[in-house]
Amino acid sequence: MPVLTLYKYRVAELLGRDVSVDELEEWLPWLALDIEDKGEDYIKIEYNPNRPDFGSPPGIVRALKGLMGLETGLPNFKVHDSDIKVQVDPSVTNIRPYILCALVKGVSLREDYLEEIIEFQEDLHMGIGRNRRKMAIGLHDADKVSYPIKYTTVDGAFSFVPLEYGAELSINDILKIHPKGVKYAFIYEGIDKYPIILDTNNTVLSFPPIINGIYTQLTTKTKNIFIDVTGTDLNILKQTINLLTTTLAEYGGEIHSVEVIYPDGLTIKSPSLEYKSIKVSVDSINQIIGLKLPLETIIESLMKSRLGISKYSEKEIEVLVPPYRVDIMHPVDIIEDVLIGYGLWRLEPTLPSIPTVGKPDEFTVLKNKLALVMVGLGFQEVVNSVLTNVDEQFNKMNIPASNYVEVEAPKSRLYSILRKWLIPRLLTNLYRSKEEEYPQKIFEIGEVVFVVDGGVHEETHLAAAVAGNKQDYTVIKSVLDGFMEAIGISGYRIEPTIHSSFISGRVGKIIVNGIDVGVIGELHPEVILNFQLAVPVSAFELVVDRLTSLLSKSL
Amino acid sequence: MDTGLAERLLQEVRSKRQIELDSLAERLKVNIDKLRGIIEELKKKGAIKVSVKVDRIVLPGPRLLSLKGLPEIIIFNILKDFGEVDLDKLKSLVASMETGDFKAGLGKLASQKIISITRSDGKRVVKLLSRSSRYIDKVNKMVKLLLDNPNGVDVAKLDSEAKKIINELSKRPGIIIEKEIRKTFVSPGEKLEYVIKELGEEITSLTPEIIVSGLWKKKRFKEYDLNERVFIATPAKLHPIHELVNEIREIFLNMGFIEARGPLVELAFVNFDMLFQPQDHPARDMQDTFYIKHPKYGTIHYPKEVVEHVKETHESGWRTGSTGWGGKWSIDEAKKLLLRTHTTAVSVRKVYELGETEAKIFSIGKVFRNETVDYKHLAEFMQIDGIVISKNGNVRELMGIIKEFYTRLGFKNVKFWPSYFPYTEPSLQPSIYVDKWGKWLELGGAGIFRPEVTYPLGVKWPVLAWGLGIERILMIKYDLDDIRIIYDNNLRWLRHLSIFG
Repeated sequence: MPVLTLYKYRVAELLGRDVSVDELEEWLPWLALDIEDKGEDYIKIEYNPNRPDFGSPPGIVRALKGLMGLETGLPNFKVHDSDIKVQVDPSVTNIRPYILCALVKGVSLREDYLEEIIEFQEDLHMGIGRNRRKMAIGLHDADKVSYPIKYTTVDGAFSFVPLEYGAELSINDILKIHPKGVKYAFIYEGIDKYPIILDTNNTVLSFPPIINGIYTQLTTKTKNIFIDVTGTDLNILKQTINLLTTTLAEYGGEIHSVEVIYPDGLTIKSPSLEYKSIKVSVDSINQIIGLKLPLETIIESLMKSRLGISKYSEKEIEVLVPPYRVDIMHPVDIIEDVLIGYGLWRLEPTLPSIPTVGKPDEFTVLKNKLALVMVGLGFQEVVNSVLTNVDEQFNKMNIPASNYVEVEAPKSRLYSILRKWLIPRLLTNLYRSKEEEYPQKIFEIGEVVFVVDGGVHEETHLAAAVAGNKQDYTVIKSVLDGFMEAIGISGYRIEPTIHSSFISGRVGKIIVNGIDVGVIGELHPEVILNFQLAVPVSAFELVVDRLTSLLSKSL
Repeated sequence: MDTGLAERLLQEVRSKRQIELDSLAERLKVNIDKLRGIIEELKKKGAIKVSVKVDRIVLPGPRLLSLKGLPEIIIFNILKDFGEVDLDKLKSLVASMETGDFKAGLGKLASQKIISITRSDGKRVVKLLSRSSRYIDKVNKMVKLLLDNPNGVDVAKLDSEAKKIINELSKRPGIIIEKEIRKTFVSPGEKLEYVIKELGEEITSLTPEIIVSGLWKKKRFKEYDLNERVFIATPAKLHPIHELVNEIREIFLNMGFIEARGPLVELAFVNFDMLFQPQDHPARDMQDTFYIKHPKYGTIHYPKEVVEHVKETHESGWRTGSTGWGGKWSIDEAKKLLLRTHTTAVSVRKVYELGETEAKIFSIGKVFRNETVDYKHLAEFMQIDGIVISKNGNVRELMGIIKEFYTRLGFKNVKFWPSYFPYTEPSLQPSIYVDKWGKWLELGGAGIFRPEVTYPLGVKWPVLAWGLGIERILMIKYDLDDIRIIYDNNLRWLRHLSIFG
């Protein structure tokens, strides 16, 4: 989640009154902001990705003013027309088809303002821009630009002086050596034409979404800002241009629209900054919150959330949503804003009134019973991860790797497949406990996953291991006998089998009523050494799902 | 074994150093046969050593006893009065002496040149040659010794001269009787002191024999140092996370919830799409979610219209009243298999299964995130998820359930702040105050499922939902500063852990 540092002086400036860090710490969480850290003169917050308008201090203070009752209802934005036009070349259609632009005039870019705006821009790139793939922004000193503007394509040899470099570079070189080029080259893999934004003198404004040209760079002297937003999703572009212009307006800017002319003749003037209108029933608000709020309280709460009311009755309220509130997609989102404006702290928790009867999951009950038998036999329970690796599951166990389920792109090689059986990790557990008193007796009941007939199969196993001097087959066999007796299974037998994890002649399948329910044996010295152990280990592993059907349920 | 007797026996052996069995029996006032068994056992314990000695003794023979002396000595003593005497007269003086003895006596005296026997006038005269004789003295002394010791004289204790005399006397019939006597001696063994202590006044370890024999009545028990450092017996236990899971299960079962379960390997459709998570949402990235490499896709078993409604909801809101996310929804993306990233996947399955039925459901299980594992993060951890399907469900009830849950777990201070999740609206973030850490801790999320989630599944009622982490509660309970400890399963930790934290 994106993080933002709010300085006390800055909040006070925007709020129009002095404020303490403690006060901010008290208020901000009620706007769904997480306090990350705080200092004498700052507070660091984390905001949710559904509220990109919280990406700048003015955006947050705008909401805070509402909640504190200092300034409620809709903020006002006016859009002036400009005669700036942007022509879109058909060649961009299959690469990065959309562009929207706007002009914000009369901004004073103090150094801290400039930093805030750049940070806001980056958060938008990461969030709704999906790491610039879906949307990217270019901010320019409007006075350095000659209109009209072209959004077109060039080939890789085309060169210009990009930001953060200081020398002319071809597009091919930018993608290879410029830090931003290297970072975002993945977006243009397999493409030989690149989108570019040029002014009427062919000065490069931007090579979206990689880097801007140096000529139109923003400085503290910039008064008027030209905004370009390019991308693949027109709706996201509209949201972005709304977010940018309304935020820049908070820095004192005057918003002017720019017209974009598409090859098919479509013309889009942006930003439009229209208020979205949503109808919400009063009943649904009270039902979800669980109170019977009077109409005026609901309206007051909505205003505190910086929403507007265009019409209302006892039954229904028509709410106006400002253009930066890109998160509002359903009336239920308005209900949450009533809740936030009302103050979540005012709600008294209560228990649900519906009559229900509790019931445990039968299989979980069974597993618990089996676990208690094992504990009674002196075995300590362990709980291990399902994620593991081929080396532990197969190589170290001296068996061929087969039918395992692998995951994509794991952060660690140690967690690259799902366990097919439990004994290998029990051996790792024993290795980790090498310094502890022997004999060691451990068991686990847990899920295993493997491939059957091309599909994924999950089942639950129970494995037990004993380690230490003289802990041979007869020891684990007596444990198995005791376990089986305790769960009421008699007349099972061990059928000799070949299994290279175990000593030949000391390993068998556990057969109950002709059903193979598991394996028991004394681990092979090679396997013991593979796990860097130095004592005999014997173990068994049962398929709990197969046992279940054998357990008597008659009363 | 009669330990009392054994102990007295050992005390005797200790004071006497070596003692013969008979005298031991005498001193202990017991039958010697009763001692043999005990001696054998004490010998085995190393408390005593037993040695056997064979003694040769001589006793006065019947002739010596009837004569009250040797013939030569009797004759010598008579001759001392007469000096010289006729043989016949001499014989009459010792009339009680048998002729054989008389002759032998004379012979002995003659051979020692103590007397001479001469013939004159057809008569034999015996003449004493010497009034004192070494031989006579020696023999006389021996005879006296023999007669004074009717039970015999130990040959081994005699000097070599006396032994010679015994040898000579033994050749003469009836003078002495020779006998061999075996004697058993008891002396201290290496473990004498130890066994005495063992058998001593106090009982150290109570044995079945001590209980049955009643010996315990006569003795005191040795007092132990009750705080002595001993070997710790470590009980086998359930894993602490299992204990906590059971505790949480009990809380929700007691609150009238039904327990549910679901698969670990889940369809993206269930884990994300049914929960209105847009297909290009960063959380769906391979960077955050474990997708299955092979088989890559699963089968969506939901009816066609459900899939269609989910698709339309994502794209344009369908009949939910929402704008939807826009863009194109891809069925291939939805068919992808992944490791569930939250147990909310189980909850949403239940919403579809149950429909508009009043119900409270919870599930606890493992969830997976493609995270770099460190002291704060795991790639695989546990979650508790719950839902309440109810016509009149509301935010206050949602808060009530979560507050009740944490209160029962022992956290008295529960707070709710607004939050955001793509599948709930309103969304809340419950936090608990951890006394021992002195701070608020967020443990998950809660909210009411969006209409975009429930409508395509045929449910228009509010569905209260929450998902909470479990490991952090365990970390509070055991004051852990590294989450990885929980699944390390080191026996040092597990064996010595208190079940109460």
